[in-house]
Amino acid sequence: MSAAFGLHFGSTSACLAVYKDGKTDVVANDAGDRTTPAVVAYTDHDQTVGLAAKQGIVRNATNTICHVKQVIGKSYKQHEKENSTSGSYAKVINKEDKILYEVDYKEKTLHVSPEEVATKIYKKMMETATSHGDGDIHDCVLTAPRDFSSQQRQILSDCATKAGFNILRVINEPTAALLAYDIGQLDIEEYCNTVVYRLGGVSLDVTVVTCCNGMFRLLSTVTHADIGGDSFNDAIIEYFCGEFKRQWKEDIRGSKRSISKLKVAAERCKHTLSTLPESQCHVDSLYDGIDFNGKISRARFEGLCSGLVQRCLNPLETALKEAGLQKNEINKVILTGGAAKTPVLQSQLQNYFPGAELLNSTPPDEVIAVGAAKQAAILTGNENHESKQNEQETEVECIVSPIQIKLMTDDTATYSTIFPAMMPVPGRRQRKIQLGPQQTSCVLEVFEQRDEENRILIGKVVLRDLPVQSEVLAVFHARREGSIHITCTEKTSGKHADILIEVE
Amino acid sequence: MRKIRTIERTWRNILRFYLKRTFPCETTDLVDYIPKQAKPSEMLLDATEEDVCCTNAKIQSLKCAIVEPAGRWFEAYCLRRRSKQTISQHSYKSTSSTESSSEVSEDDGTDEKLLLSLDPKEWKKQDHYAVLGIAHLRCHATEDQIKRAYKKKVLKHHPDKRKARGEKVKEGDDDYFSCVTRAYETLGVPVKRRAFDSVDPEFNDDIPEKDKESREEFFEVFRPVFERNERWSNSKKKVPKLGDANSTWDDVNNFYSFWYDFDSWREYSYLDEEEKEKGENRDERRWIEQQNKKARQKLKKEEVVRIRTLVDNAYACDPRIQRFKDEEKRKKEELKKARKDAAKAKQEEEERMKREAEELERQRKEKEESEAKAIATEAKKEKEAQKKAIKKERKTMRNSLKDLNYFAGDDPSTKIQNMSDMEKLAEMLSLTSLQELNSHLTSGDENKAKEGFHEKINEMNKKLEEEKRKNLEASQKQTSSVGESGGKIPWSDEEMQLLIKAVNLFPAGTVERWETIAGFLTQHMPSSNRSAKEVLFKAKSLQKMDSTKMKDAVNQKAFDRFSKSHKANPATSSESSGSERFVSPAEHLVAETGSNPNPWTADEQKLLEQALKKFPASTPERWDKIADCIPTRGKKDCMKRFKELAEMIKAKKAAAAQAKTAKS
Repeated sequence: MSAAFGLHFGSTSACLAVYKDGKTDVVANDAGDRTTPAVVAYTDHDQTVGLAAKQGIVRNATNTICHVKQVIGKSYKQHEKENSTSGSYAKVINKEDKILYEVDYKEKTLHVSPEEVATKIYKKMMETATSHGDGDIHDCVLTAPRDFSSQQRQILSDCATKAGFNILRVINEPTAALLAYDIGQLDIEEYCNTVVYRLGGVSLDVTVVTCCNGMFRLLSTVTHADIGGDSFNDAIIEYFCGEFKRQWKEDIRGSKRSISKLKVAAERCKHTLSTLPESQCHVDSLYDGIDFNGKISRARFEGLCSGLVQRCLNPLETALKEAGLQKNEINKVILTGGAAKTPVLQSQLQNYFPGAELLNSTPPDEVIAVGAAKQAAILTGNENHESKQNEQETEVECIVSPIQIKLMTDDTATYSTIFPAMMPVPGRRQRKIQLGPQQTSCVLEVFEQRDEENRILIGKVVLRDLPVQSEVLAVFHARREGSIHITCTEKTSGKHADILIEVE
Repeated sequence: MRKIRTIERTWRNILRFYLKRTFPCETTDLVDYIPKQAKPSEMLLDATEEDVCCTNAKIQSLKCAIVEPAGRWFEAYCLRRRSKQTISQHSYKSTSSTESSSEVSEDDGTDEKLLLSLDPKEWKKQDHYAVLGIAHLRCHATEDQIKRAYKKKVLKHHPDKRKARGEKVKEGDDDYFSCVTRAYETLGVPVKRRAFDSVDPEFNDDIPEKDKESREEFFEVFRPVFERNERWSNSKKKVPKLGDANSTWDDVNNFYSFWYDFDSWREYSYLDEEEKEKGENRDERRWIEQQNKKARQKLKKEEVVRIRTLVDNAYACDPRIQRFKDEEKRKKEELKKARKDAAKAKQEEEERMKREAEELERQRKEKEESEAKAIATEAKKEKEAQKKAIKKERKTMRNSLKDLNYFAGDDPSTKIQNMSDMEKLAEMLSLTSLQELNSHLTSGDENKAKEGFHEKINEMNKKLEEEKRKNLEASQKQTSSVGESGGKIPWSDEEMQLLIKAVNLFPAGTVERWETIAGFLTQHMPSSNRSAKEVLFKAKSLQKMDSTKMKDAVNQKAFDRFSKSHKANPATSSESSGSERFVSPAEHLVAETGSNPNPWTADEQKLLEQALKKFPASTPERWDKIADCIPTRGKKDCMKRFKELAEMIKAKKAAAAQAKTAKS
C-alpha cells in the first residue's frame, strides 16, 4: 500500500512522518536522527545537506546556507526590510530584486537561489522516505506557516514535486498540530479552543484555533520573528564567555571562530538541560589554544533566560485578545517547535493557562509532521482531483449564535447548548432525556442565544400521554440552508413530534 | 422493541464499517452519532395543556467562515456538499461492492420452469450461468457473486428444503437439483470455469469482413468486436484500446503489434467426447487422451486463425494506416526533393566558382599581355629613338663636315675621300662613337674636329682592314669548299659574333635550325637580314677558318687527324667534331694561370656536364671536384662556363618563343 507522508520543513530543521497500516511514526534519516537540519553546505568538492552540512559550519561558514525558509518567495527589498539576517552566514546578493546566495563551489562562485536549496533539502528527505517506504509513489502533505502567501506555498510544493513527492495538499502548521492530537476527529460534537504555541529555531508564533463539528477555524495568529531557540543559545554563550573571561582574562567575543564553536557546544548544552538538571560543556582550543570546560545547571539556565521566557509569553495576550477569548476558555495548549522542549517554558505556560490541558506527549519538533502524515492518510483515500478541489472550497456556512435547550435540574433551569456558535452547517446532534417518574408529557423548549443576556425562545416540542419512566430521544438536525429540524420521539410508545425552525 | 433495536444496530454497524474504511482513525471505538446520554438529573418540564408544538421565532441567517481544509470531517463535508446529500443518505450509499440483497433481481417464475426442465444427465450441455440465475453476468461474474447465487439456489431448491415444504422429490441423481450442484462445480473452480467460458455458446465469434461498409464505419464495426475478444488475452499487460481517428502512430502500431502476437487462453477441453478416466487400462486412457488432444489442437488452430483474420481485416480497413502510409510517402518525396535541390544548388555553386576562376584567369592574362605589349612598344620606341638618334647624329655629322667643307679646303680629291669616309663612318660607327665624333666636330675648333674625324677614320679603316682580311680568308676557304660564291655583303664583326652565338645556341638537330638562326640574327641586328642559306654558308666557312688557325699553332699530324674525322661523318659533321682535344697547350695554360681563356670545346663541355651531374649542388667544394675532372679547365672557368650556359639556355628559350610568335 503506498505510504502517506507528512513533511514539515521548518527554518532550522525538517521532519518526515509516515502513516502506514493505522499508525503514524516519524522516519529517522540515514544518520538515525528523527529531524534533519535544514542546512546546505558547499565545499570545494561536493555539496552536503543535513547534519554533515551543519557540522561543517564552523570552518565553512561563508558557504553554508541555513534558515532558507525565511527567504523563500521573498523579494530582496522585503528581505532587507525585515533584515532577518540573523541566520544565514552565506552572502546574500540581489539580482533583479530576487535573492540569491553567493557561494564558492569547486573553486567557482556559484549563485544559488533559495528554491534550489529547498529542493536539495526536499531531495534529502526524499532519500529518507524511499529508504523507509516500499511504495514507489510517495503521497505527501506539506506544511507551511499561516502567514505564507499562496505563491510561497506554490514554490514549496513545486520544490517538493521536483524532489519526487506527489503533493496532495499544503496545510497550515497549527492545523497539523491539532490533527496530530486528533482533536475534533474522534467525537464530532467535540468543541474546544486550542492554543498552538510554536517556538521554532528562529521564530515564535502563537495561534488560537477553535474546533467545532470536526472542523478547525484559525481565530488569530501572532508571530515574533526575532525570538527563537537561538536566542536561548545566545544567552548560554554570553554566560560561557563571562566564565572564560573570568578564568583566562580573555574576551573571546571578538573572534568569530570561537563564537561559532561555542555556539555548537551551547546548543548541545541546552538540549541536555531540557532533560538533565546539569550539563557539562567542553570546547577544545576555544581561543588561541586554550581548552574550555564549562558547567551549567538548569537553575542557572532558567535564571539566565527568565527575561527571554517572559518575552515568549507576551504574544499570548495579544493572540487571545484578537481571538476574543478569555484565558479560561482555552481547553488545550499544544507545544510545537524544537525550542518548546525547555521545561521552564512549559511550566510557565501551564501557570498561564491553569484550566487548559498541556499536550506535549509527542516531541514538540515532530508534532507538525505527524499531523501532516495523518492528513495525508485521509487524503490518499479519494482521487487526486477531488482533494485538490476540496482544498480551495474552505468557505463554510455556520450557525451564528448557539442553540440551547432548557432543562430542569431539580426545578432550576439550565440551558445546555446543542449547537455551539459558528457551527458549520449541516450538523446533527441528539440528546436522550429521561423523564420524571410520574411525568406523562413533556415540552422541549429551544432557545437561541443571540448575545450575552437575551436568549429568545425559538420553538417548542410537546409530547403528551407518554408511558411512565419513558425516555425521549431528541434529534436536532441543522440543514444546509440553515433551518433546524427538531424531532422528539419516545421509543416504547412510538410517539413523536417535530418542528422546523426557519432561518431569517 | 426488538425490531427497532435491530434496525438501529444494523444502521450503526453499516455506518461504522463505512466510516472506518474510508476515514481510518487511531482509536477503534468510534463514538459519533451515538446519542449523548443527558445527565439523569436533567428533565424536561411537564407540558401544560395549552402547550403545543410551535415555532416562535426564526434563527439568525447563516454566516460564512473560513475553515481549515484538514481533518476527515472536512473531507466528508465537501463530499456531501458536492453530491448534495443529507447525512443519513450519505452514510447509506456504500461504495464498497458488498451487494445488498436488492441487487440480484430474481423472478422466481422463469427460474422455476428452467430448473424443472433440466435433465440431470445432460448437465454438460446446460448453461451453468442460467442455472445459477446469473445469466446476465456470465463471464464478468465475480467468484463472490457466483457463490452467493449458488447459496440462494440451495436455499430454495435443496431437496430437504423442498421435502420440508411437502414437495415430491425424485431420489438420487435424477433430481434437477444435481444440475445446480454441477453448475456450481464447473463455475466454482476457476480452471473448469475457463474451460466452460471458452466454449460458451453465448459468445459470438463472428468477424466483420473486409467490405466497403466496415471500411467506412471502421471504428463502430471493429471496436465492439475487439472489446469482446479482449477477454481471451493471456498476457498480464493491459490490452491496448483500438483508439480513435486521430490516435498517434505509436498507439496504432502498439495496438496492432499486440494483436498480431495475441496469445489467447481459450481451450477446448470442455468438448472432449470421452472422459479420460473412463478408459479401463493405461493404453486405452492414453489413446483417449491423444484423441482429445488432437481435437483440442484443431479447435485451437481455428481459434488462432479466427483472431488472425479479425486483425487482418481490421488492418486492411483501418483508415489511419492508409493515412500513415501516405504521410510516409510524402515525407520520403520531400526528403528526395530536398536532396535534389541541395545537389542542384551545389552544382550551381561550382559553376559559379568556375566562371569566376576563368574570369580571374582571363583578366590576369590580359593584364600580362598588355604589360608585354607595353614592354614591346617601349622597346620599339627605344629602338626608334636610338635609330633617330643615330640618324640625327649622322645628319649633324654630315652638316658639320659640310660646314667644315670636309677639311679639304679646295682640294676635291681629299674632299671626295673625306665624303666617302664620312659615309662609311656614318654607316659603321655606333651611336656613342658618332656622338663623340659630333661633339668634336661641333666643338667649333677646326683642327680638334679634324683630328677627331681622322681618328675615327683610322679606327674605321683598321676595322675595315681586319674585316677585309677576314673576308679574304673566308673567300679562300670558300673557294676550297663546294659552297657558292661568298656572301654578297661582307659579314660585319657584330654579325659574326651573333652568328657564333646563334650557332652555339641552336645545336645541330634543332628543327629548322638555320631559319631560326637567321631569325635570331635579324632580331638582334636589324640592319642585316641574311637568308638561311647565307647563314649556313657563313657558318661552314667559319668552321674551316677556325681549324686553320689552330693548325698554325699545332703541328701537321693533328691536322690530318682532323681532316680524317671530318670525312668519316660528313653527314653529322658539326663544328663540335671540328674542335680537337689538344693535350698540352690548354692544360699547360691552366696549370700556369689557373684559368684557360680559350673557348670551351665540346669534349670539355661533355666532361663539365658529367661532373655537374656527378656532383649535385649540395656536395661541399663542388666546383673544386668539377675542376679536377676537367684537366684543361680551372675552377673559375667552370663556374663562369656554367653561368654562361645557364644564360644561353634562358636566351635560347626566349628566342625560340620569339621565333614561334614571329612565325605564327
